[in-house]
Amino acid sequence: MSARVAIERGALSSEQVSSVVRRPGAGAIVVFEGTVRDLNEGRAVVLLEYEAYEAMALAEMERIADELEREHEGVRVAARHRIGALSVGDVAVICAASAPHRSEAFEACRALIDRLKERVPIWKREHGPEGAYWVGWEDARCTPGHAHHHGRGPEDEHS
Amino acid sequence: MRVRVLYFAALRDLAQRAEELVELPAEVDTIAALRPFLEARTPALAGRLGAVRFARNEAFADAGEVLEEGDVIALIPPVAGGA
Repeated sequence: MSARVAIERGALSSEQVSSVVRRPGAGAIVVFEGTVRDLNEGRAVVLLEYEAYEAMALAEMERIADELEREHEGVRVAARHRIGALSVGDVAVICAASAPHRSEAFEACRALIDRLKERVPIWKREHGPEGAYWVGWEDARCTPGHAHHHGRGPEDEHS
Repeated sequence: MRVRVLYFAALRDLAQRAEELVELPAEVDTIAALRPFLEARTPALAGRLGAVRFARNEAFADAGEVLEEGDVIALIPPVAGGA
């Protein structure tokens, strides 16, 4: 499948995503893989459940791709995000960019993952030894300047 | 007018539903007016929507955006994609 952006439920392939942007005019192809790490803020991660507002996630990924291809001369981009249950080491997202030269390709790939992380409606529920929680929700609810526990360990307090 | 409201992630847990059809009073006609209306209507959401972004028909919406009959409004808690 050669769609520019997609959300998938199975393992992602860098080969497949880079092939979407590969073309004779591109002297540079840059690929980024975002993987599930073993630690988040010092806590062991056992499993991550990714969920998406799929229709909007795809639309927003398309909008980001359109923006980048307009902003960066000669650039083509592609992205794949995986949803479902992922384990440590699994690839959650792949971004690729191609351009005549490497400078634009690196910049566009960096911008692609940055904007994707900021805007695409995808969430993750982290399952660790101390329970499960939605990443980014607890912190967002809290106002700075007070101390309380998020249930993630006795030393976990706001600075 | 009636709009469909979608709840995701932590909000779905709080609201205890993934979506619902909501009948809006006449004065709730913008995204900005919708926020306090939803907080008042569902006690579990009271004070919890501060960091939530709103989407209207699959695109992020400005506060002043005017609502229309049949709109699909999604409450977007802080996103966490991109690994």
